[in-house]
Amino acid sequence: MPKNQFIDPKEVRKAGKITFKDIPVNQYQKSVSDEKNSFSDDDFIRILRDMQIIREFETMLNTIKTTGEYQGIAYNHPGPAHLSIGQEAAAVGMAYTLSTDDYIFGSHRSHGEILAKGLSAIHQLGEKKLTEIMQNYFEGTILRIVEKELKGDVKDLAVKFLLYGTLAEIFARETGFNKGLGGSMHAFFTPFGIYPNNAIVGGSGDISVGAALYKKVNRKPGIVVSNIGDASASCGPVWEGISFASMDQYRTLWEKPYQGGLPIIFHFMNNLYGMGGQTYGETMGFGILARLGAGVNPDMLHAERIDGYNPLAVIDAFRRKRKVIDDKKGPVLLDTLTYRFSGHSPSDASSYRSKEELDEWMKYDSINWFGDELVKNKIYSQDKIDALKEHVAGLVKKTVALVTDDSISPHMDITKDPDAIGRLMFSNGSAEKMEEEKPGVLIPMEENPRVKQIANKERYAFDKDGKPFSKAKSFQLRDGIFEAVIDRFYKDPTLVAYGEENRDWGGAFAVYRGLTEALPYHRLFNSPISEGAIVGTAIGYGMCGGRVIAEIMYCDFLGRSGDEVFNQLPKWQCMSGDLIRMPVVVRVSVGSKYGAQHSQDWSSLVAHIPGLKVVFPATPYDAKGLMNAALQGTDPVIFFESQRIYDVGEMFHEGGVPEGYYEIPIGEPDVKRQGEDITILTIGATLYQAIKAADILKEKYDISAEIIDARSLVPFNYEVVIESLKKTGKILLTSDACSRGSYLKDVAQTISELAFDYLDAPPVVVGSRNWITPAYELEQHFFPQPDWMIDAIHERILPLKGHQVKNNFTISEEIRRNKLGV
Amino acid sequence: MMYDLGIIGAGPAGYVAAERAGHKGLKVVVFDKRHLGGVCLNEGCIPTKTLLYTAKLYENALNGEKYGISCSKVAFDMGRIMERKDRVVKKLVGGVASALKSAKAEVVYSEAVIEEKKSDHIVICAGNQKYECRNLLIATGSEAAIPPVKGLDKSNALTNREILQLKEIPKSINIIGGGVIGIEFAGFYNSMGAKVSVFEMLDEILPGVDKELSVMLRRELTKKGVDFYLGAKVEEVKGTAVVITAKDGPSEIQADKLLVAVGRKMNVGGIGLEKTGVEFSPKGIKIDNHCRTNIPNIYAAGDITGFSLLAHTAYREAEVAVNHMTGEKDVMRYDAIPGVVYTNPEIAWAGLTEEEAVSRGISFKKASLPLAYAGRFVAENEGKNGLIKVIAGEKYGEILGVHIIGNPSSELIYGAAMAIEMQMRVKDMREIVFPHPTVSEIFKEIAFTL
Repeated sequence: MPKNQFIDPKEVRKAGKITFKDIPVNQYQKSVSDEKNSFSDDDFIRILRDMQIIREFETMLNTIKTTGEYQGIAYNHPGPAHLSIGQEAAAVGMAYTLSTDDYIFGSHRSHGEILAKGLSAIHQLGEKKLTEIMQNYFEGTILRIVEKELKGDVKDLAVKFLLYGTLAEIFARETGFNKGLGGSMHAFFTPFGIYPNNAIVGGSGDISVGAALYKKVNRKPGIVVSNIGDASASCGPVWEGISFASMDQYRTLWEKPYQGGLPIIFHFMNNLYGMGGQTYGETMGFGILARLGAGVNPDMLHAERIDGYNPLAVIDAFRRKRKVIDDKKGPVLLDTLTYRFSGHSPSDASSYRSKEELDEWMKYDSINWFGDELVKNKIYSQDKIDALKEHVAGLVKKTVALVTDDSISPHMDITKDPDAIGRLMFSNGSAEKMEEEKPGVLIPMEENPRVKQIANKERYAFDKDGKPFSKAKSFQLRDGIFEAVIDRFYKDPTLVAYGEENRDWGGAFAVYRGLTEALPYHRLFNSPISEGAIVGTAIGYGMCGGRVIAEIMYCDFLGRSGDEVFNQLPKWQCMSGDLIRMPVVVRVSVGSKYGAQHSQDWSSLVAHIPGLKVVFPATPYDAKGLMNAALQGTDPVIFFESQRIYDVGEMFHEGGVPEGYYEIPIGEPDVKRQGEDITILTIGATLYQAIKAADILKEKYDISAEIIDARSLVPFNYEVVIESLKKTGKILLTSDACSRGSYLKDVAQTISELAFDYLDAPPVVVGSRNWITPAYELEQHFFPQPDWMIDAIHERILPLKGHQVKNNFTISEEIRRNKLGV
Repeated sequence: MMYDLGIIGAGPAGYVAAERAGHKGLKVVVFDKRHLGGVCLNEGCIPTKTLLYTAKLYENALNGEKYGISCSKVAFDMGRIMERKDRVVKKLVGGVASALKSAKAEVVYSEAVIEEKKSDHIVICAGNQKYECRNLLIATGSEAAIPPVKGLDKSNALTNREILQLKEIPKSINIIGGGVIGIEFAGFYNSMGAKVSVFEMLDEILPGVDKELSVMLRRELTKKGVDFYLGAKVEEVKGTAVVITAKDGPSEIQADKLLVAVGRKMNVGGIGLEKTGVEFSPKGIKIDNHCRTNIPNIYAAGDITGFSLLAHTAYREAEVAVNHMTGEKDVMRYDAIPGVVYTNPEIAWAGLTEEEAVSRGISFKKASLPLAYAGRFVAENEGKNGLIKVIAGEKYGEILGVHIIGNPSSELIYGAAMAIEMQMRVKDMREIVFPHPTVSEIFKEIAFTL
């Protein structure tokens, strides 16, 4: 069903103007005395206590970093600690109204937010639930420590549990919330709705949007709060996240129950500085950050500037904005003004701001002001406040003592357990579906027009006489991907897919043709042209427990989602200490014919980053089997497809592509053709060039080549290749990636070490030239051709009798090219 | 018509390649714009050694008294000397022509230029005809380099080519360049009675030759009347006079003739190399250890490689190239290439000098002996001294370098080259039986002192 949104030229060409509403700035000016009817005394005291806990915690870290000790306990912490002393009111106000169904995401400066949200959750949850959470977390490891050493009633214990788990995480202890693998900038605790903070500035900008997407699509309660800084407003992921969260289609195209903007508050903790660059007056132009909302949509993201130095103002803002979201009018942008007394990090000498400015802000210290307010309103005496501060200091001291005791809070023992970290890189899980709901579909699968069309196709490329069927009649590689994807859509209710031109168009290469008829908008939709957010939201979606296929239309666009692919997607499973899964498949289409920026194979870049599974099938049978495996697993998979061969039929698998469900294990190369004299290992579409080369080798030189199709880059089973080498003793490796830095060079080098005794000649890699990809008309000079492979074999591996080379594979030429870097 | 191998240049590299390739059944065409035999046969090795032997005979006649032989009215006829030289050259050039004929190699006496490189052959244009060759060997050699010195150009300076056409011995001659070529000419003209002055920029003559031997030769030549100006930078040339800066100011040395022998310039220009993608520079064409350039079917051998500027190296490089072309296993090695300075006395050597071994960090032991330890040397070299020096590896005693000054070292040195190539150790040398009495026995003598 094509979109019916007729764009009328008469309308859009009419004269008119765009108007804006005023954006409120610091409109909430109430104090404690004004709000005595909305908060109980205990509420007020709790707000003070929460702020004080954060203040003491951050001060403790600062003291340790700068003096090497805290209240007499000596400790050296070389790791990072980006502290938020001075910002407590904003953090506590933010967390006050949030429940554990509400998820927060943070930045590198989020200790305060973690503690505030945790304390808020502890206050709201019943004792039974709290006990259950603590007992189940890492099988009660942390609870046992805290119970034994600190004692207390459930709520009390929970606070200690929170402080211990957070500090132990910051100090890289195995008993921390993320087994010490996340650290200060990646600590989180999902049972309290605390989702990861991010060391990359703005990193949460699009990931949090994915979590909001998850809540909307899977009808989960709660909102998402993205706690990011003012300087992150210059970052791509934040802008792309905002774009993605405020798409028109949520209102205009999505089905009734799923309508409305994403349930997310972009909460800018605006402390007016980046690391040292001053956003106000130096590095940004908006003046007051809330202004940004005006440019995004007619609702102006309901943007407001809030005085974050008054916790009550922040609480008020969050109450009002939650209603906006509940009314399906999200997303929301909040610009909460705050200020940090601490430097960017403890080594920061604050050379970028004056002492006068710092002193002036300290006069308005929220904790002092709020305490004075409580005293003034006879809610809490000064003595009690002092006692509270002392109590908190004692609490923090006890926590430090516990966490810094190696016998109670050890680091991971990698000597005893060498696999401790390695084991957590991939979850290697198997899940047919991520939830037990019924998948939302529009028609039964049998009625799908494409399913019906495929039913008439030949699933093996050749007829009984060995003649190839026409392309139109053949079951193609794109059909293999389609079958796996649609199958999973009917099994896993959480599965969603999106990217550019995915719906209606059916994907730029027709892989998704037929899915539009089968699926409602919330499961298959067009994203903006925002590769960063396409992958970033998929990460947030997967992190929350949903399965997602994100599509990157051209491999050349992968750079646009660089941080998401290199820094985020691969790392969260391990950084979380095995707490979350990442069932995300990123489909990447490798181009051809379209020149320098639309034809590159960057599978090597992706293979280099630990934490990603990388596959590149070249046949319909492999494509369907690997996509099934990827969609059954719980790890991030980068799934490469070649535009050269979307229409190729199944030429290898006996009987053609099976109709039912089957998986091909990720990491297993496949011998496509057996041979005796030389092994040729291929990645991707180059398989078909290698087959041509093998045919020539047989016909002209009576050499039989064994062809191995890698199918997967990471993981990779070398045993298959070594077995082949025991037979042939020689190997040529080839793919369309540029030869320098190609993954095949890594494979070739490893083979040299592992199979040296079986080799008669060095493993030789034939890749593309280290040039820009030229136009289609010149492509045969750039991408590996059969005669290149034969010449390389002749020059470097096995001289072929009577062979005259056409291409240059001499040693001197290789040296010359490398000297030129070409 | 398609040739298997085209060779540009018919000097030592070119004609040997043509012979070997022809005898292996390849269809060969070799081009030269001058004559068969190149510099070596026509303007280098052969004519100079012919003249040097003539000079030796003259010297021996003049010094017969020491042996009890009296000669009077010893005279020479330069015309007949040069005529004989020409005959020797002609005979040897003719020999090469026959050799090429029997190898069925086609010879084209024209300047050859590469016109086009196609995917599997090269098109050469020579004398208005086109030749298609599957493989190409570039053997265009070198010529004398003229340094950029004020006042120095082809009009007043002679190089090896022109000086070998002189019909008379000049009264005096200035020689710029104290390398092998300069010193050999210095020796020749000195023996024939001219006043010789040699100007060398470095602080010793014969760079690359064992220093001790170079000093000995220089002293010998000085005794015979040759003037050496070492560490001399030639500032200017005025006609045939040389102006140098010395410690106490410039001096000008007059002479009737001026010979420039400062080194060789590789003939990389004018043959169309740019069309082929072959990696080259003014220093020559780069080759690998199969004598192949970076372009698969293009090879280079001889002086054009800019590396070992010796005819015998050229022969071997040519052979390695032809072997590679025909799929025969062969690799070019440079560790045991002998060198000779054909002065009287001769210097000959093979392998590393002491200085080279030190700079490579090789631990070695060395020994020297006067050649007088060989009986025949004493019998035939009245009043003369000679020296042999051998260096061998410290740990295993493998022979690394042999250096000899004294006649007939040029005929002995092949034995040293063989020993080094075969990695013979000092103790292996002790077990070889040398004929007695010969100067070659000095090898055995020195083997027992190492």
